[in-house]
This record gives sequence, structure tokens and C-alpha cells, in this order.
Amino acid sequence: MIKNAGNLENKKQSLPLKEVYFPVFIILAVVILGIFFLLPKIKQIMAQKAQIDSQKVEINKLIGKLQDLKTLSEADLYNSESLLLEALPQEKNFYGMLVQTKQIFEENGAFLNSFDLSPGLISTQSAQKTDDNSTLLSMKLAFNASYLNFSDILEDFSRVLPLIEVEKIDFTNLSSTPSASLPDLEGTMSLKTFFSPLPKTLGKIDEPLPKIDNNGNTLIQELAKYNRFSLKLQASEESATETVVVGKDNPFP
Amino acid sequence: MKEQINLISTVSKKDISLQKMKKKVQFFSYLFLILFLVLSVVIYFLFLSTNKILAGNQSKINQLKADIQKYHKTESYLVTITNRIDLIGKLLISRTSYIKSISDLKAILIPEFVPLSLKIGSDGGMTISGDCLGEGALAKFNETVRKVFVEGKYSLVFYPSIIRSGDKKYAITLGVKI
Repeated sequence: MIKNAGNLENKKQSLPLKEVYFPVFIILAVVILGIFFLLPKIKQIMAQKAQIDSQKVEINKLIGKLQDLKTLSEADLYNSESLLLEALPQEKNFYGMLVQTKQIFEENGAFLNSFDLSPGLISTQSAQKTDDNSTLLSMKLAFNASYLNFSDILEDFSRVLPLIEVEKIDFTNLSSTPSASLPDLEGTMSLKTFFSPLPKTLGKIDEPLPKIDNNGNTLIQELAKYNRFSLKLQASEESATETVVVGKDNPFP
Repeated sequence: MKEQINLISTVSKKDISLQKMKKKVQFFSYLFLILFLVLSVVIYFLFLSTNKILAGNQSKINQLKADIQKYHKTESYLVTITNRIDLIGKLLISRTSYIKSISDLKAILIPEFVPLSLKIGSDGGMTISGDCLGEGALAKFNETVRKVFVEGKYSLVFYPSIIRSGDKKYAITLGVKI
């Protein structure tokens, strides 16, 4: 009896402790789980939200880019690109420079006495570059022309593709006849033409689409009026490939 | 006089306050647990939904990129065009124009002046040498030079040398700079 009474007393003392410890344990467990499970998840969700926002921005950009691309005409762009590459080729176009120069002198009734052209290394990578990222090809020529013809020659050089710049003119002789009001000119002329390699990356999906501004469009329209080497080449090739009838006609058709 | 007597013993009072505290602790622990469970479920579903949105957006981005890739040629043309426009624009701005120099030259070539040599430099400036026959010719030439060059685009007009020879001929060298 006395023993049982002692046990009851012990139970009475341990019961309140159990009843307090268990809820405290639950609270602690919840706090620990919250720190180790919920907090990382919340952080992850926050990061994902930021990612979703950036994705939305990217989607808007890509949609805009796609719409812009859809409005552009590939054929028109190809023509503009060809024109601009003719104006500023990616490789040394010494043949184009030579043909255009010869043509300009011929058309203006002037004489091209001699020319000195050293193309050097043809490769764009190995060729020397200028400050503005374009590379030079120079030619020196000796000429003989009347004053008016020479003026026209200079005008023609300023409106020709590939772009040619008259760098320097030295007149060695200015002879005038009594009947002529303006002298005949004889001298040397230094010309230079340019070339530049294509951009290293021709468009990236993530990058915004480059825009052609009004100045660019005006430049393209202006260059389209220039005297083009490729058109001359095309015309001469067409005339060369015209069928020539050789031999007698077939008497037995 | 009324006297209040508390019949509850101090031991029982302690027990009652302990019981109350225990109930409070129990209540809050269960509330805490329930809140935690609810929050866990909410966070889990939020996590799933953001994951789903992320995946959906990514597939949309991939689709858009694939669509843009179809227009790669158009984009490469555009990149080349803008690159060339930039370079050609710079070249054309820095390109020396001799048209004006030549037309100015035409204006000063008067019959009283016999040109002998002419140099046009890379900056568009000129040096012209020639002979003027007599003082009158020299004065007329100087007047023409004043009209053409001084009021024109040139920054400097100068005579490096004027040499008078015995036969009243003036050998002139004229320089102009832009």
C-alpha cells in the first residue's frame, strides 16, 4: 500500500513535466524544420520569381525581335548589303579599283600614262589596318588631261564604287595654248581605296536587332546612285557570253 | 464586518496556474504545428507553380529562339549593313574633296597668270607656282586670289615667295590651306 502511494506521488510529479516538454519539443521541431526546410524553399521561390521576371523581359525582347525580323525584306537587305560590300569590300579589290580608274579616264577623254599599284598581302587578316578599322590599298598614276576633263575626273572619282579617294595630286606640267582659256594638265595622282573584314559575329539571338537609322537609309540611297564596278563587270560578262554564230548555216534543217 | 476566507489552499492554487500554463503551451504548440503544416503546403504548391511557370517560359523562349534562328540570314545582312554604314559614313566624312579646290583653281587661272606647277595635298590645300607678266598682271592676280580664296573655305592664304626678274616678270608661289 505504502509502495503504491509512493508511485502515485512520482507520477504526479513527472506528468506535468511530460505535458510541458512535448509541446515545447513540437515548437522547437517546427522552428528547426522551418529554418532548414521552409526558409531555403522560400529563398528558392524568391529566386525563381526573379528568374520569371527576367524570362518575361527576355520573352518580350525576343517577341519584339521576331516581329521586327518578320517585317524586314530579305531581298532588300541582300541588295543593300551587296551595295555596301561593293562600296567597302571585305578584301582588297584592286581589280575593281583599276577597272574603275581606267574607265573614268577613258570616259573623260583623258590619258592614263602609267600606274603603280602594289596590292601586297591580299588576305584581310594579314593586311595592315587603319585607325577606323578599314584598310587601305593605294595606287599612284600618271595622267594627261585638259582642265575641264580633269575636273570631271575628280567628280567621277567621288561617285564610284568601290569608294576611291584621291589622296594627292601633283601637276608636273601645266601647258596652255593661246587659243585655250584653260591649261592642259599633266601630273601624278595618288588614289586609295578601302576594305574591311566583316564583323566577327553576324548576329546573336540574344542581342537586339541593329537598326538602320535615317542617315543609314540616306547613305544607301546615295550609294545606289554611284557608278558601280559590279554592274560594269556583269554587263561585260553578258556581252562576252552572247552566242556567236560560227560557220555556215545548216542547209538541211 | 465581513471577512473573506479563501478556502483554496496555496498548493491547489499552484496546481491550477500550472494547469493553465500547460494548456496554453499545448494550445500554442498545436497551433504552431498546424500553421507550419499549412505554410509548408502553401510553399510547396507555390514552389511547384513557379517551377511550372519557369519551365513554360523556358520552352516559350526556346521556341522564340528557334523562330528567330530561321531569320538568321536576315539578321546577318542587317549586322553587315549597319557595320558598313558606320565605316562608310566615317570614310565619307574624312574623304578629301578636291572638287572645290579645282573649281577655285579655275577661277584664279586668268590670262595674266601663266601657271607652271601645282600641288594639291592630302588635306585639300594647294601650292601653285607661275608667272605674272608685269605689275598690272600681278595686281589683277592678287585681286582674284583675294576674291576666290580669302572669302572662301580656306583658313590660310599666303605667298611663300614673289620674285621679280629682270624682264619685269614676277615668279609667284601661292599657298592655300583649308
